Amino acid sequence: MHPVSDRCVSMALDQHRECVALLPRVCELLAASGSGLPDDTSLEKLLDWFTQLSLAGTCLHESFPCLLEFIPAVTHNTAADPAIICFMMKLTGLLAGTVEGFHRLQEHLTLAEVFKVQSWKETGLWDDPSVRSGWIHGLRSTMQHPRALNLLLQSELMEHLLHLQTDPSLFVASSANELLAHILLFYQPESPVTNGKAHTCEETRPTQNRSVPSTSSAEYNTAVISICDYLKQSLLPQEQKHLQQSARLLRLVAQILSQAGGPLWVQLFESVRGPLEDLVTAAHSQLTLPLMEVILAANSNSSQAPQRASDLLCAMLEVRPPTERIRAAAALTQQGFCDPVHTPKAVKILLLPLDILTGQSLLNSESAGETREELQNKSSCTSIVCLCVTNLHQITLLPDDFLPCPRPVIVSTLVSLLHMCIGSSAVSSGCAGANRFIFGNGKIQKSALEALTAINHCSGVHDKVNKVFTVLLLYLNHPDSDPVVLHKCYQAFLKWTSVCTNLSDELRQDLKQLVQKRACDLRWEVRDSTVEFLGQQAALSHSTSDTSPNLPLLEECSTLPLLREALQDQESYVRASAVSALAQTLRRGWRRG
Amino acid sequence: MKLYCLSGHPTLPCNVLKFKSTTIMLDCGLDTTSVLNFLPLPLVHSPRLSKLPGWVSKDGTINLEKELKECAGRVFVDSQPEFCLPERELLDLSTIDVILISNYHCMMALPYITENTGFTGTVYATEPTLQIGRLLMEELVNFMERVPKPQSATCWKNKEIQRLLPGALKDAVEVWTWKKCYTMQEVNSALSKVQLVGYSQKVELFGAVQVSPLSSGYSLGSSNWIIQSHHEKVSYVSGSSLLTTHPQPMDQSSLKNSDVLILTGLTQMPTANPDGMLGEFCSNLAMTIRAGGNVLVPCYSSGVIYDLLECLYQFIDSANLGTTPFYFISPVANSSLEFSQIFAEWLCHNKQSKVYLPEPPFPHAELIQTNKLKHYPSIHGDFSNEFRQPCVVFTGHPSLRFGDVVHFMELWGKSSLNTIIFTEPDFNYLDALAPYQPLSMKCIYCPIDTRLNFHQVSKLLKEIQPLHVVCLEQYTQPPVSQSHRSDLMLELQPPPMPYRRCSVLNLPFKRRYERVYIMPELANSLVPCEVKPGVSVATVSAVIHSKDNKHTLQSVPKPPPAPPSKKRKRVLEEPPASQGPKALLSGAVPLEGFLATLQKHGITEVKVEETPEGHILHLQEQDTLIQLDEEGTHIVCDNNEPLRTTLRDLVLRFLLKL
Repeated sequence: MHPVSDRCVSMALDQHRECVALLPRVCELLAASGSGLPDDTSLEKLLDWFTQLSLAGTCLHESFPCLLEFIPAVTHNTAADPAIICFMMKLTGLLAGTVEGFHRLQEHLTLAEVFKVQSWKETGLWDDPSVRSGWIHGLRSTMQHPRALNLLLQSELMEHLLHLQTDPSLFVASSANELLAHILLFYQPESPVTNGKAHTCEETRPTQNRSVPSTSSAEYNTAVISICDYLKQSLLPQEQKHLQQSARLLRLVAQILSQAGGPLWVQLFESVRGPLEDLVTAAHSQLTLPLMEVILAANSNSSQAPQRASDLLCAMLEVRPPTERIRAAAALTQQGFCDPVHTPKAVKILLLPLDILTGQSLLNSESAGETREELQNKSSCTSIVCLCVTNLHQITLLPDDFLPCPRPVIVSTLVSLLHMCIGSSAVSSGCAGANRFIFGNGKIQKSALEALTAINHCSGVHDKVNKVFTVLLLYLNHPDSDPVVLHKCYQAFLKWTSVCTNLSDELRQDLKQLVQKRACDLRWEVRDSTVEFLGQQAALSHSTSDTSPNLPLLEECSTLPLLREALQDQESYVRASAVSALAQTLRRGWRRG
Repeated sequence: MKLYCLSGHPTLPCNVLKFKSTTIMLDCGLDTTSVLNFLPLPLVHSPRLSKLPGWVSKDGTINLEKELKECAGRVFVDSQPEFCLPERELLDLSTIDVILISNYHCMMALPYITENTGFTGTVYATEPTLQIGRLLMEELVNFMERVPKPQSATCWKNKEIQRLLPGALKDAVEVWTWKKCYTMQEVNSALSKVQLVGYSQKVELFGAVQVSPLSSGYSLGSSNWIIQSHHEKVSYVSGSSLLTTHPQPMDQSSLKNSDVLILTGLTQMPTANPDGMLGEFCSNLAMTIRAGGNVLVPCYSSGVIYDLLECLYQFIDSANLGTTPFYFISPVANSSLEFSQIFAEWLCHNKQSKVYLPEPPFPHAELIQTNKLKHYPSIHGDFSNEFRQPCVVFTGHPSLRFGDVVHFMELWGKSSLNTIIFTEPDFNYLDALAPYQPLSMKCIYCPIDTRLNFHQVSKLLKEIQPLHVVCLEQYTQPPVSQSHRSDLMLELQPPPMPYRRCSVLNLPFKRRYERVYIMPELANSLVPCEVKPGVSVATVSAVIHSKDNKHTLQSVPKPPPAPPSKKRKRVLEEPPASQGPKALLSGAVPLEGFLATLQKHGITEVKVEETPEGHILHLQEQDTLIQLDEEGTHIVCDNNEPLRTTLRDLVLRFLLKL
């Protein structure tokens, strides 16, 4: 062993011994302290230390018997600080997470006493969110073996756990949420199967406890029934203010459905189907995304998904108002969901607004009127267009027969949209009412340029290269182009250069002049992006093989003076980019020697 | 209330408002775009311009060789440039009581209005408007007078000849009204009629209306005007800006609750964002200098130039332009730069606070101090000794027809290294460049117009909510070249009232009330009668006395006691003693109640017909009509006086008597 490492290990052991020696006094002090600690991060550090030891295989109750005294002492100290109670509960969970520890603790006090909500309520400490949080985390660490489930049900803790789903503290509610998912998935009697593949609950089940000793199926069923009942009753928001809670519960359902095995999946889906149907028709815009997560999770499990799950997805894509339909379709494509029934519908929904705006009329949709109306509404126009544009890349990755039009048409639509965004008269709008929201709309410009950058490799888009470069040059030249827009414009140039084999001299000349102008821009961000672009375009040409070298967009003789000038720029970022760009530009020369 | 529109120019308005017996001219802008039809006036002899061929019609029948010259396929008038004046025939200019000026660009026609027209009124303007306006007029006169043209071309204006002329000359309108530039004497005389006002200062006009200027945020001392009486308010919004530039910000709140808002002077470049244009200006300037070329900026000697210099002050170092000389050449360059520094109270807050440090509000003082910016009255004299290239020159006139700019066009036009950057939006740059073709120098058009755009004005109008908006016709439809841009027009409810040159509009505005004062002794004699809680009325007999549009009720003077009459007979001839005033009736007759009352009095067969004003009751048996409406009640009852009296008394039961 290296002498230095040797010394380090020896120091660590010394420190460990020191900690072990100090721990009983620390525990005494903590148990006795009534007032608040000046800094409770020390408790977190202590807990981290215990967790590390526990993960390393140390048996905490054997190594530190003082902890077995500490836990009841704090439990019975009604004047204890909430931070110490929280620490105690989490520590209890760490100890009770193993069967031995669980039994050892039960000898000193009943665990039910630690987690007894009623007594914490009586002392008024339950009102403190840190106590409730400690309660959930402690319980979560405990729930690693069947005895713990037994404790949960016997001590009537489940009722409190369900109550905490609507806790005013988001942290508490979200932890309570996770605990429910853990209970359902961890104690499943058989290995869950999703999409025909064996599913491993790596996240919820620690490796050492992978094989759960036989859980009483009656206890598990009781837990499942009470959770399903709760979800059935709580999914529908009674009031507007409960939307957050519904969204959280929907995410819980989505998580369980995507990981659950057959019986649990069926039981849960049947329980929540009614409320889900109601939610689909209620069209709460805030719930569209979590609702889609649930419905997609239900539909993804093809072996078990009943027709009803598919019906729900159809309803999301057909029945709801246009904005919500678009959100649902976007969620579908973003999650990579792909089936011959729903995906083409979603694609059509996402292409329709762009089709209307650019007046392409390639899609014959009955809902065009409704969508057109939405586009004439200032608040929804930008979000709809951005959502549709953002998903274009995903759409172009789909199989041919899922698309309502060839990919080059999608590129053309995007180019037309970009023209409209800078008020270019090269295209006429198909929706005059939306024009005013599109002109100069930075958000749409950025999304559209990002999409254009992403779809350069679509098959059959070579013919569109000239159109793409024309619109990019317009953006580079436009006085009102935002620095971020110009940056994205440069990125699009680089990506599309790789598609184009022979750029015209005229285009190179135009680009050269515009880059020269942008290198003198008033805004340093634009100068920086320009200099960066010069380096990247040089690097791009070098990266191609020597046998068929790609000509750089701009020749060294025109870029080097700009880069040299940028070395003297007042802004250090620009100077730094200039150094890097010079290196990229001159690399070929260096290679050649 | 009437509005006479004497100019159709969007940013150089000239309107006359007749309101409550006052005649108020709102601005008198001078449309100088007419000079684009003329040949440039070179400061030094230009062989190129002097050798231009004269124009003869193709068939040779019209020979105007001396008046018109051909250059690069276009025809120009070879004469002293002339300006298109506001309409002077629509109304008698001598009847104008006051002229309100909103900014120094909108007063350039003042001498044409106030001199030799019989004008005897007063002109109101803020101090910076007057001083900078004077500089601009002085500069214009100087530009013209230092290059006198011996001849004056008039033949081409003949209608028969004009319609045969090529291009723009054929389409030029009102050419007979075009006038040469005024003299310095006329300028001084016109400006002597100006009375200075400060923002929010209230000026009484003949006791009838009150006018008050408000900051419009466009230029130093620029104003919008409020014209109001006790019960009516007219706002005049001309050349306003919401951008943060050097002037004091626009006062929007005082424009609220206007009955009529006259809107003019919106941006001429609705698609060109000033910030973007400023960026274009700087990057093109730097690019040219780096390549070893010169930059020419044709501009006015006041206004945007202050912002350009401020922007360059920050840009010079970052673009490594520290050693490049910047020249500002104008007969009034020095005064303009210095005036800008002394009108602190008219500047935006940031600049005002600098004065207390004390620091000059504009950074061009530092540019001058460090010799980066040099200013000269003309290209002659010191300038020729100091001139170094490559450089940047700011000079006038932006039309490129007169001023020192003509010299630089001749000097630099042939090299593609040089660049001309247009920043003023008043002139079409292609037309401005026409007599210099063929031209090798690069041309960049980045017009900087900080005035309100359509988006801003829509927001402003939503905020201040005038009852009626009157605006130029061209604001009510998208520009011809961009008919798809529905966002480049005013869409209001109710739609704005459009006007064009020579329109006379009856403003949709009914004067309903007038303030009348009552003398204390007369007020004491009144006997109020409460008609409903909190509302009392009284009849009053008085004499109304009107002077300077102020109305006062005075007690009726007692007739002098009649001289004792000797003839007893005369006494009998005198009218009977007064029975006191007739009772005044008020209130409305409720239909249901009235029908019930009729029924009680045995009138049962009543047919009720609803009319727009009220109801008509047909008493069928009695063959009588009763017409009940808001304004009165009529009983039509032939030859049955007792019935009419009964019905009248029934109606009176429902009315209050005073």
